[in-house]
Amino acid sequence: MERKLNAELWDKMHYLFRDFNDRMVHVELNYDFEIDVEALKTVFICFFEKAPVLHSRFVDNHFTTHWEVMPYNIDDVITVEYPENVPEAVERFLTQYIPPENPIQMKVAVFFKDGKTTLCIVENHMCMDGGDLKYFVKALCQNYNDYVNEHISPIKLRTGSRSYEEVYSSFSPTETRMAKNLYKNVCAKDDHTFPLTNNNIADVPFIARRKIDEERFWKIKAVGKKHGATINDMLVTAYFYSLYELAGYDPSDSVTISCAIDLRRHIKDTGDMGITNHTSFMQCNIPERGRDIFQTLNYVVRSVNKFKNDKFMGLYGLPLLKFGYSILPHGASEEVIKIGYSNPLLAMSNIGILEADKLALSGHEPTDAFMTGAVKYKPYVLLSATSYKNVVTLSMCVRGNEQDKKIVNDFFDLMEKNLAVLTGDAAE
Amino acid sequence: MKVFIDAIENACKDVKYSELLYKYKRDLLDEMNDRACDVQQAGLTDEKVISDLILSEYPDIRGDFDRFFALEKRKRKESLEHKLLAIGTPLFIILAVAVYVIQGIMFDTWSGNWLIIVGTAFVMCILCALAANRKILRLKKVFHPIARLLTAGCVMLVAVFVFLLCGVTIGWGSTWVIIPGGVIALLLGDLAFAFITRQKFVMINTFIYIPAVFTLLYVILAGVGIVTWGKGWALILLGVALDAVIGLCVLLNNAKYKYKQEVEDIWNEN
Repeated sequence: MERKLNAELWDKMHYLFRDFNDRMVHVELNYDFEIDVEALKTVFICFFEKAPVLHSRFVDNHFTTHWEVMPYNIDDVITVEYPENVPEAVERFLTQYIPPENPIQMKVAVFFKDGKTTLCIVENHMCMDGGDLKYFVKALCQNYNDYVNEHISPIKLRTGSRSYEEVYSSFSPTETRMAKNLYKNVCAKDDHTFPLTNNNIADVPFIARRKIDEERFWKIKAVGKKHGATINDMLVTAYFYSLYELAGYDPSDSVTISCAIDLRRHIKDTGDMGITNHTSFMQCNIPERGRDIFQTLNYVVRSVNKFKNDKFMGLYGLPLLKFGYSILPHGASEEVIKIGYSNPLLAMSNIGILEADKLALSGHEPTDAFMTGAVKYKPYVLLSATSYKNVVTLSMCVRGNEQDKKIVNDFFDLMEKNLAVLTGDAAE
Repeated sequence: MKVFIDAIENACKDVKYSELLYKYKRDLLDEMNDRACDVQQAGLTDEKVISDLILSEYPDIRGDFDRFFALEKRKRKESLEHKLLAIGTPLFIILAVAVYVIQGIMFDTWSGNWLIIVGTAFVMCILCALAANRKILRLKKVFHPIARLLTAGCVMLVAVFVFLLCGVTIGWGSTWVIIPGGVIALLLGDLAFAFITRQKFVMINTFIYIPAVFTLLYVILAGVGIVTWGKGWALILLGVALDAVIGLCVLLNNAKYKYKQEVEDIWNEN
């Protein structure tokens, strides 16, 4: 019998984002030993059964949308390869696109070389966001270890509601009603773009990365503390300042960067929730570049604190979106929402810390770990940041050409330079 | 798999044997075996993992049985009601016709007796509508307008029957007021239905229905001469004023739930 799952609000929103990005979220974990592929397959089958949205296809018949659970075989999910050139294989695998109509929404690759393993995961953002993917990967490692070491069945994955309304679950009835009355369009209205080349049909997706070493990481943290800023604020500041330099914006221009926020901050206990999306954006705005990068930092801290002081941070657009999707058939709703929605041209997502001990397999911590968001279509860009063992990895996924790759790398050079200025290691 | 049989038997060991219990256990076992086949086809080979995985999907077999038992009992009761309704409706109508004919022949009074047939037909329609409503109310809210229409139809059938009964027994003079009275009952009934079942746009219904009710009240009162046609229209204004008062109350109540960001400064956890 056909089994259907509800298409939740964020599933539909990410489906709407198909014009702006490829909606894939990427993970790469490197280990210095060969992992047990059969055990990994067992864990993944159990997880797919616990989260059936991962083996479902998205059905849009213009009137309604839903997920249809599909049969699958784990060999269609997990690919095992022994490539000569692992980085090339990783790049090829990670930049793939899984259509929402595909019966499987997550693909996994295991690359073996010289007794080492690279584990890569690509999944559709419509199923879950970076926050839950991080949880998923940690649960994967935990269940793998329990299964390999003690033959405990790998079935410990959260299941439950995927509804966006879970964000209200820890609120009092009055707070819930207040939050559900926040009908406000919170879209970014800024025309400043990242200076990439024009779109071309020959463009291909690529993932550009840059590491910020541990020494610099600690310095950023220390300087940030002195200025009342978090690491995220410091990175956003460098992002702003580098953009002014790279794109040549007028220093008196006001610029906005949309920063992803995890709405799980509003939920006290996520234990009975299914894997899903709970991400919104806050608009970090600076009125001008400022005379130096420290003034930019002040603007950033001021803007971010305004959001942090808001009890309902990130919950503003939700009732409006819910209303938009409720009143009309899906196709018409999308058109109406598109009128009011403007996708941010400049965005940042700090995925946060990847904990080495929780990602360990059979006692081996990853030698390197990295996560990044979707491949954006020009002119939209998203800077992702993850940290692993106090090394920050900045990444940008773009569908572009060699020239774009060079521009993104120039941007990373500027980021490094500006972070050095912030930490007092270089003059402006 | 034997482990499934053991789990089911163990969970239901304190339940007395019945056909229903057997049906539940049989269906559940078939379902579990089907799920086991699914995961085996997906590539899972470890039997322990298969059984643990499938059993984790049924954490409360005993509770599920209680729910299954209650559902089956309700289904059987409803099935009996449907059969009674299907067989009883034509029988009841035949009986009503027979009563009408016998009573007419015996007392030679045919005028007005046709109400027996009309009344019977109306009662049967109302019973069918109520049975349908019970099913509809279990469906998604998108189907609830059908239940609202059926309820409105029932109210109007009652009003029409009362109108006919009064017309036949006490004369047709002012009995027409029963029809607008029926519409008032329909609107108030629909509003109550909308509030109780928490329908969408219930306030919009309220704002439309109140002036409509007062307009009909004006027609009835003026029709029977309690108020004059010339001055009674003030009732319509009263309806509009009541709308305004309700609207104001709703706005004031909603204002309590308006979030003023500047008041909040405690959310500094990050």
